[in-house]
Amino acid sequence: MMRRACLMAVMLLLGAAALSAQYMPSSKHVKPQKVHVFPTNLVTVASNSPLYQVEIMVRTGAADDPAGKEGTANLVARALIEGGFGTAQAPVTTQKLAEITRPWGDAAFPTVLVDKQSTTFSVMVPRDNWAEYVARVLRPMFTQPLWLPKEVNRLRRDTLTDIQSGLRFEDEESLGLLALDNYVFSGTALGHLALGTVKGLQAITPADLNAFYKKYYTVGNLYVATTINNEQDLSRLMAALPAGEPVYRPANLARSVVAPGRHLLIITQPNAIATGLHLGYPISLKRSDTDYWPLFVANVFLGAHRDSFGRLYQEIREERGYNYGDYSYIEYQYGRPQFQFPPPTTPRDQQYFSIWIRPVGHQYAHFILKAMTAELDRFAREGMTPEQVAAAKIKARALYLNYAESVSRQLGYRLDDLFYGMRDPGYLEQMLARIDAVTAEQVNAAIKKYLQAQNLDYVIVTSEANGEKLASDIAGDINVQSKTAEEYHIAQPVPPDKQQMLDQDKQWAAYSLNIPRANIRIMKAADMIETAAER
Amino acid sequence: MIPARSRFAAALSLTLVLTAAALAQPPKPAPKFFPYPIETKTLPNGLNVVVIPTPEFHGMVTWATVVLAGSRNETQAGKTGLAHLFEHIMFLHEYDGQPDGYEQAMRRLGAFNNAFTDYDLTFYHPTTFTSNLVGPVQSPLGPTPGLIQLEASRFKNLKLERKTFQVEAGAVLGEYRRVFSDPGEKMIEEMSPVAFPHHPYGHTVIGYEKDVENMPNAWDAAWEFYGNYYKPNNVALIVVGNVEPKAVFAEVEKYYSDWTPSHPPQIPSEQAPQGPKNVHVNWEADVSPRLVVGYHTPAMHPGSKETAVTIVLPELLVSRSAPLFQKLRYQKQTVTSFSILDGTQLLQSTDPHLLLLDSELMLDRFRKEGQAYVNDVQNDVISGVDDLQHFSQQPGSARVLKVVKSKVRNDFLAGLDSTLDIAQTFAWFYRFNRDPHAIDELMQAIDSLRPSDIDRYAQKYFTPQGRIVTTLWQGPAPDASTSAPGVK
Repeated sequence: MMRRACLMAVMLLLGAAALSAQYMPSSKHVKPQKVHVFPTNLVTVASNSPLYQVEIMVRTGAADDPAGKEGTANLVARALIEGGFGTAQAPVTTQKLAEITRPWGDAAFPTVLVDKQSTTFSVMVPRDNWAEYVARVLRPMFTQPLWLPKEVNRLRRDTLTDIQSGLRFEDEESLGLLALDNYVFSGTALGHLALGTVKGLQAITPADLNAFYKKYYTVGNLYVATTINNEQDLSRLMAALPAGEPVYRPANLARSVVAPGRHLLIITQPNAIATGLHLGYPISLKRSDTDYWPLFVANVFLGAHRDSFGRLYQEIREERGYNYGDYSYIEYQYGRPQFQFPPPTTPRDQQYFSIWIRPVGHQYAHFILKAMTAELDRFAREGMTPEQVAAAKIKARALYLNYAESVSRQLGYRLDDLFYGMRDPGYLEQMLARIDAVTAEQVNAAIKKYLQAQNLDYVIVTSEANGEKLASDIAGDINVQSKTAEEYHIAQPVPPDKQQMLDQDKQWAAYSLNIPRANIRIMKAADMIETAAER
Repeated sequence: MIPARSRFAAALSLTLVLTAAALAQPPKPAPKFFPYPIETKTLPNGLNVVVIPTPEFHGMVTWATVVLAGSRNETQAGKTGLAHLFEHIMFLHEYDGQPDGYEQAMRRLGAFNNAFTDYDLTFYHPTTFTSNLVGPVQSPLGPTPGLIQLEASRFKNLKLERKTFQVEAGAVLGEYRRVFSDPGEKMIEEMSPVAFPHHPYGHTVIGYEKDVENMPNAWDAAWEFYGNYYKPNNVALIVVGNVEPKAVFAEVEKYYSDWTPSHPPQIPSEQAPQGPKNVHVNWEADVSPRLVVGYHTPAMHPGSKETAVTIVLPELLVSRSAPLFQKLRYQKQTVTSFSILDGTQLLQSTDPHLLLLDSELMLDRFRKEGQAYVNDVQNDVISGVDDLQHFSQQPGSARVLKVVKSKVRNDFLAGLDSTLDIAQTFAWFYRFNRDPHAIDELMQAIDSLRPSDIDRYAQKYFTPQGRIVTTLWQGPAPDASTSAPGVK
């Protein structure tokens, strides 16, 4: 929604042009600020802030987890920060690290985001304290990890709790989103959760952590984006990183092709009060491809994230009131339930198209499964009119205001650019001009090329009581229930626009999903993310 | 207690207020802490305009309108929640006589447009491309007025149908129900009228449920509120981005000069607190029990020592390094979380408000030990707060304060990461006295703090009279005879 809840705290201290033509920069020239791209793996972005921002992306992630030890990449990253570092006589533990960094502010305590092919560390430190910060925190953290068993076990326990309690039973939406992210890649290195699996996490030893760290954490294997613009401070930063050559190789994604037909994974939770629906399939599209921006515009039209603009939202939520929101994606997007705009720094060699239908009443799940598929099918066949493209382009370019809003986001996108080999211009730098240049023909060609509804992977999260029945309803194409005219609050006689909506419902209900029972698997949430093999 | 300055301003004629505002502006030392230049101008109708050029955010601007009225300004019984209602209906403005005209024009421009309401202010903050500020803008969907013209139009001359108003007022009820499914918000709602029997801080920002239910019928009261507060003398524009201040001022004069000022009503003052007081909320679900120990705190006056202490208090009480936090979370492990309820929203207020120390207790221990467990935590919190009365005598207090000052500065700077963050942070401190240098004055006052300033503040405000304790669990209030000592 446009308006934010009134009680949302204004995060503060703790907690949390021109107006005539000649002053006015033409929007064609709107770009993030000047960046310096060095021949190596380092990019700097200018900033007036008295604090330096540093983001370090290591080109490794869950895709490099050894088989049976899923979670190694994640545990290594967390244990570098909180597993103790420095010397065994005077280790810097979490509590000690908090004390050291306290005067420099909360953002001086390093944070890390681990994804399947990248691991990104972020810190913000006062310029004046940079040398001390490197000496006391950054260098020992990256070069002298101790893997203290007590601390590693605490991190392991916390991660297991996140999976076994948080993800399986307390966050239905994230469970569905992450399950799809694994399901479309099953059988490949991208097929398991970035956090790891229960069995994998339990099997990891400190020696495993050290071996993984030695192999992947080398200065040749990472990218740095920073606001540091002073040579001496830059050298301090680079010298603090572990020496070594690049080891990155694209993940083996040979099996990540669109499986023929439609397959469904139904995850059941003991007391899910509504049913969440997802679909997806891999697409071979990268940000540097010419089709990227046309498909970006198309996707804004179909399902702009957390926005009322998209067609799926308009039809399923706004007109019919089935749920809170309905969106589509052409890339993996981290932290979807929380973040209104995609956080950068989860780049991947392989992307997938997906649709996310937020939970609907159990009784409507079959109907909405048909509706989302039928709408994708229609979109893939019919494409967009020039007027729809024009409106979607304005919406798409307005997203730049949020994508590029902060220096930290700009740094993050710069890291993604390095990953994708898009040095100049980078993603944000080209975003507006490329969107402006998109034509309706290009959009429709990209839709034709990348979108389809025949070969799909679905994930549904529903209640245990509902799972088996839903599977047989879908397989048998029976019990398709939409809201009645009364439930839609439609007055009699039915007004023409509402009649159109009811007719559309009938078409959706008649749409054939054609998912045989053999293509449907039911899993209890309690059994999810136990091991890497889940298809 | 109403701060002297507000009472003074409210009592005077408009002309004098404007003169005072004009006198308050000129020469001040250049900002030393706030990392951006600040340019200001006041129009003859009283509208304050602040421009903060941030060239590193290329081609982007946040055009924020701060209405210096929030739920604090809802003084009519039965009409709470109006400030927040405006946050909604301001988006429904019939620009150029078209239903939904404002939103459609904004859609043609392309903007990230949102707003929020607080106790003391309502903050509207569209962010857009600088090329959209002045029209006509050639959008692929047709020519569109510039954002400045659109914003001026809805604030000067809001138009909407009664039916549109009623539908939106109905939607606020949905928001009320969502907000109050949160136990913490319900606790604030229940304790507020006990803490503030006279002042409008006695109700929360969204208003009482019955008032929200009745909101579709509040058409006349809503227009009265708009007439009182959506006026140039009660509004500031905060413009942050890749803009040229002189050009912004010229456009503001063009579109906002014909806006006529008003005489906003006086806010009722509050008597000195008569605590200690207790409030209990009987929650329908079997959730973890909550204990909120609250204290009445002074109004914010950036530059004063008391306000500087107010800012560092959370570090001394609820941060990971605070002794009280460590005692509850690590040593005794009696709580699962210890924080300030609602962040700093209540603590940093225009009139005296509340510090709310929020403990989340363990359900299994509560079932076993009952009230004795709650009393134990409550005693620890109260004695931890009392310890600040002798802060200067504690070993290392000067060093602790030095670290805290540094942390507060750096956290503050880290938060200035986007045009919206800058506009919001600036507005949050500007609004107390409409002082563009409030943040620098605040930081200077924090720099000058000594440990004995903490003692004095704690001795003055952390008293049994100033205390209000709120509990929440499934079941009735504790029996008075088993209550913690010192609490009735």
